[in-house]
Amino acid sequence: MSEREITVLTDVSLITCVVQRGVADSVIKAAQDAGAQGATTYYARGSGVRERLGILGVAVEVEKEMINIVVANDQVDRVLEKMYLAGKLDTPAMGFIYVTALEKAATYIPPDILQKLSPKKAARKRKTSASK
Amino acid sequence: MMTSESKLITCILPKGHAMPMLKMLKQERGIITANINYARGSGRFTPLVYRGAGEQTEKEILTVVVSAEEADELFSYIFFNAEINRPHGGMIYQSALVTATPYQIPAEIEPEK
Repeated sequence: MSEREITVLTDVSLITCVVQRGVADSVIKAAQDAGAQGATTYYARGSGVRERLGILGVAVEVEKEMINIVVANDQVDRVLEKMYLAGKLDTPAMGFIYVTALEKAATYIPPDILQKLSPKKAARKRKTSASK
Repeated sequence: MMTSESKLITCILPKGHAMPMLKMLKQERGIITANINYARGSGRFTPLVYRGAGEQTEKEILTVVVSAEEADELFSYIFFNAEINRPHGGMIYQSALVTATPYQIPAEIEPEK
């Protein structure tokens, strides 16, 4: 049976941003320019501020886009700031953004990157597979 | 109201991978606190990135609420069974929940066949 390993990433956070529909792409672009690797977006329906702003609630888009981005803790502040500015979140009813602490995360990490992170371990693994 | 310490495991998976995983969790582990929603993913290393910037792919988000005791074991179970450990396989992360109520099917309801 082949050896199975998980490279667990710690010190990562989840940035969640709620914006009006159609705004997500520009926010994601800003996040990626600030160092984020990827983003996941889905639709939602918002309520709350809509009833109190605009005329009969028509000024605030009811359809929302939710953006999820996982980033390293040392990048959080920079990415968050860029997203905040790109989404114009300082304007009332444009949306909001928050950060959730993650205990751990895991994904596929290419072998060459793993090797850079821990060369001894990668060399040992190569030796083991060569002797099989 | 009974509560227990719980964790939230979230997986971002390629299209078509969430439902088999959800069924597997139910059949093999008896977990019914799993949900799926649909999303679009964009990134620097998406399968369609060669077509230029801004390409997006369909994703499925699987969220599972589990007890803190079995969270680490289930994290590994999902990681390998959802085939996250391959290129473009998605990602998985775990966060702590402050409160979660138990979610159980009443005993008088017959099990699904």
